[in-house]
Amino acid sequence: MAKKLVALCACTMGLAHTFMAAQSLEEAAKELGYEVKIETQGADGIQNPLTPQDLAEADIIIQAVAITPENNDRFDNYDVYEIGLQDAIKNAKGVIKEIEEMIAAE
Amino acid sequence: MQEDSVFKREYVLMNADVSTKEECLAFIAGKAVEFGISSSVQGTIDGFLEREKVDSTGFSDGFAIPHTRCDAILKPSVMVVKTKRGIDWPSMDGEPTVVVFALLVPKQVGSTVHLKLLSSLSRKLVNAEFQKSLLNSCDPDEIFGIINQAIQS
Repeated sequence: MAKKLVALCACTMGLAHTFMAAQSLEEAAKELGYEVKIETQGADGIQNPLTPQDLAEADIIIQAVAITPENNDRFDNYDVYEIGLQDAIKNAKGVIKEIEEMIAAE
Repeated sequence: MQEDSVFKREYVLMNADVSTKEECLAFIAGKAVEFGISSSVQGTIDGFLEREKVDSTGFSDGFAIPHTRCDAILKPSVMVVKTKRGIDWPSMDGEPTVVVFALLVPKQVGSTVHLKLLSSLSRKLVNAEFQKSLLNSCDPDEIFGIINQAIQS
């Protein structure tokens, strides 16, 4: 079974960076061989919401947020890697690799 | 093209003679009022600057994506400006900004249809090929076509 990466992206206004980060993470994760699902909380509402099953199945859970997301208690019992939206946009691959290294070192 | 379209050929503005971020945002705000996108030049400038205060909307490779959701805006729209010279926005990679995508959204939006068009454009912006095609083009009709396709897809 493919490794699974899930992420939640939300910026302050939900117009631009939310979606730029989501797209960058999605492309980088696919390139690194992950099955990927990304929830966006933007001006157009919550899109592609992460379910309890998504979170339970995920090898990596990322939040790239500048606000406190809706339904954040879903993440309570999981290790969530918080990254900056800018890092997600300009260096998504590097960020995912860093997280892989952190997990490997545990 | 529908009358309420988020993007029109006239919203592509080439060779903008601006030297700073503030000048560029004022230029966009002036055009937005002229095009009937906004009811107030100052309200639009203030909206942009409020967002810039949080952090710069400068992106990498010569792009910036200023945006506002404020009372002055009358209809969701995207305007695209190519500047005559590079502007210190500042950007994520320190490169000067030459292509400016401005997203303008009213405080109250009846439906999320137009917002979805804007979000699909934001997604497209991180694509290197898309960036390159816009940076290399000096033809406003071509730029309109490239972006219009990105919004529709």
